[in-house]
Amino acid sequence: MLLQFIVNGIVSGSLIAIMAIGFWFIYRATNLFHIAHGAVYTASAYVFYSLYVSKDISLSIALVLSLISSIIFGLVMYFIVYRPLEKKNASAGIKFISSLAIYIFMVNIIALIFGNETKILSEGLSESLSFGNIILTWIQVYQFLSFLILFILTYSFVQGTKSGRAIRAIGDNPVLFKAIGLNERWVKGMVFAIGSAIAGLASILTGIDVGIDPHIGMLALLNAVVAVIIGGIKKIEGIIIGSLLIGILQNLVIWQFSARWESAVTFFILILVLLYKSGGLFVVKKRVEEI
Amino acid sequence: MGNILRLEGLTKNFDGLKAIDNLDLGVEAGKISAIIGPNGAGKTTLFNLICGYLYPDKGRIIYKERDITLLDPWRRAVSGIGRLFQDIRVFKKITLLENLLVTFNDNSENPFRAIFGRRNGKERKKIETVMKWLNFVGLADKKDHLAENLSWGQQKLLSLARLLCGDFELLLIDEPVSGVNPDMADTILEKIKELKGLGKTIIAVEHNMDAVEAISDYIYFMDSGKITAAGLPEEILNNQKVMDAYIGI
Amino acid sequence: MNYLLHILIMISIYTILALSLNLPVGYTGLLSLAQAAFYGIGAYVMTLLMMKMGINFFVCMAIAIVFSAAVSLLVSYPSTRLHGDYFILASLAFQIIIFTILYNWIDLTRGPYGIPGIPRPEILGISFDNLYKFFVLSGGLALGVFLIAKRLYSSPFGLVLKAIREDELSATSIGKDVKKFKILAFAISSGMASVAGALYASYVTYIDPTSFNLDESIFILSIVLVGGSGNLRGPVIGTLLMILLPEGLRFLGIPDSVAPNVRQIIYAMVLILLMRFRPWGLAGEYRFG
Repeated sequence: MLLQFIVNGIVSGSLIAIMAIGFWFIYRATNLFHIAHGAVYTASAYVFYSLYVSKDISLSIALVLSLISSIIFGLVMYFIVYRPLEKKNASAGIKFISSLAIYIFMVNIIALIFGNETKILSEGLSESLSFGNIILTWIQVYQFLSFLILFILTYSFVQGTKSGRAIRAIGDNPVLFKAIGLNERWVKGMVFAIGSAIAGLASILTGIDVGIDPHIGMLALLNAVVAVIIGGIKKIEGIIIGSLLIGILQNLVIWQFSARWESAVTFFILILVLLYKSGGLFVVKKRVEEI
Repeated sequence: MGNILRLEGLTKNFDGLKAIDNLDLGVEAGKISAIIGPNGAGKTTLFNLICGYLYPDKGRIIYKERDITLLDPWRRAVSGIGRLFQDIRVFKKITLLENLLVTFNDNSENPFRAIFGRRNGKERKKIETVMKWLNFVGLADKKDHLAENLSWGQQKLLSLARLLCGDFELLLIDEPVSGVNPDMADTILEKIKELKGLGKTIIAVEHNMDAVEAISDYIYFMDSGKITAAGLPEEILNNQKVMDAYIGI
Repeated sequence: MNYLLHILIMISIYTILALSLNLPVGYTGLLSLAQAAFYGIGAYVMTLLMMKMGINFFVCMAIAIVFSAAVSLLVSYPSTRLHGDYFILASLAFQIIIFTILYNWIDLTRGPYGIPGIPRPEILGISFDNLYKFFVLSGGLALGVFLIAKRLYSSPFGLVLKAIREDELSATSIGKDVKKFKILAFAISSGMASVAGALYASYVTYIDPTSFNLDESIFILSIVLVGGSGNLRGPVIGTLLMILLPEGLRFLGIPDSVAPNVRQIIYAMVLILLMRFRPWGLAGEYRFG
């Protein structure tokens, strides 16, 4: 039993990781606490639903169109709402509230159009594989493989390409970045496009398994945020470890106690990490000599 | 007069780098001491150690014969150590009057007293004190303006007034004339000299040598976390070796 | 008339909540998404004491205030160590934990089934058992909180909070124990919120955890942000607007099935526009740095 729950935990952790990678791209480059990322997540699942289930468009085309739509959602949010705030040097609080408001706005539009009930993205039970005592559904296998591929792609992108290094550079020192004449607007647009597409991928992979409703985005986002905070913001490897840890932990809580306590445990750990983070976890300390 | 502040073997490392290196210093009460030295010598770090924003790795800080090495920063302020920050740090979105009113540390700040207690005549007395110090720095006519609307130099004057209103005894003044025009610099230096007349002890960090010469009774030269020379202004400022070290030859 | 009284009672409850949140948000500069948790703690502590032990409403409310103020340490302590986004996140985490406890500790709270049949308050033989009388009670308590808030905001205590909001280090440098003041601000704030919770529970006579979830916290924060914070009139104007707006929508003939969504969409748009063009809200003072 323990092993089965750990395997389930790794799979759900890899879904958290996908969402966390998308959030990380945006947060790393812009320092924006993009709560509305959760709305992009929800919206792209609904676009997929309208195309694939309602309009009967083929899976791959529906998938591509949904991801394009999530890119558009992300870019619109950035250029319509966040960018003007950045130009005004608005505080973190203002950006946070704006982001929360975009989230509420989009979720309620979705609820108005589609209703609050759960929608199913794929019919029938997925066939399963068994390895000894451990049972995996095919969807779980796809979820995990998607995560692996995404991780390899993003890792090599961030480490190995000029654009990838620009993401880190701009997050570390935005003023210097602008001063040496690099195109800040382009890099930030790029992270919103990439991050949002990844959020779309995460929601469709999850939704195909468990269905969707207008409120799925918040929990997905918060799980990702917790993963990013536990793993540390600097490196993408850290947040993968953070995501898998949370996935496993949540499944162990479900096994030992009940699914009802899952979020309490997750957020309790978040508070502890925020307060007593050890080295490698984030909260960049301002050096006191600079005062 | 004796030493109001004594530093004994003070040491502070940042990631293995010695910012303050086994530093001893005695500050005589009622005098103006200037600390000069090249950038990165550890002057601001020293101030932060005295104020308690940093804690030393080794050594002791003795203020008025009391060991305050591990005391909370706000308690040090209450006991009379005041700070003028290099980047000023007035409370920008409240008025000048409020900026000074907030410096009184007394039981009127107890919320339960605020809710249930009676307002007494103390408030008027406080406002009188505030106006006295606003007058002293020449900002009385702006008392109802928000502090953010003041010029940089005026903000420096306001934070000087804040130190006076709060009745601090030992004033740590970081770069009082940086970034202000020459007229304003003269005004600020004049006020600092007047403070000495009020019995305050002042330690100033300053890069402008004319300013240092104008106000200080003693000069300490600091380099690589140590006091490498100390003496009267004419001794230090005419000491070629010290001046060479300053400009980094 | 009953309808009007109902609106007035809701306005008095939310005025209390808005004024309470104003203390950490508008005065101390700490955006908190945990106010509904304290609101809920007030409602549940009052209800459980009243129904399980038969204690008088007002005594229960007093105990709820103290309890909620004590629990507020779990939010105020993080506020002394975390800044910006991280504090908001910690307060959000606290909100979710409290909600999860109310929802899942079924032996104590009956969880999602809620607690029905909460009695109306009584004192000295007077029972606040109809809308008129209840409005006298809720209006009276709201007025009391308003007066307390007024004294606090204009006191040296309020001024210290503003100084902390502007610059914590600078406040420390003039001798303010920043930690103590943050703890006090949150304690008073959550005490006030639990008054609103006790009132709400005994007014509706039924509570369940969904009245005290994250959405509710966001709503209370929105009131303060829309009306504006850092002074007395901002939160009051925010309350009037945010409570009356949905009633206005009702008169426009928007069907009840979509009204909650339409309302939320309007709130969200108002917030986005305010944050961009007028971050101090309609009548506030604090400008968010």
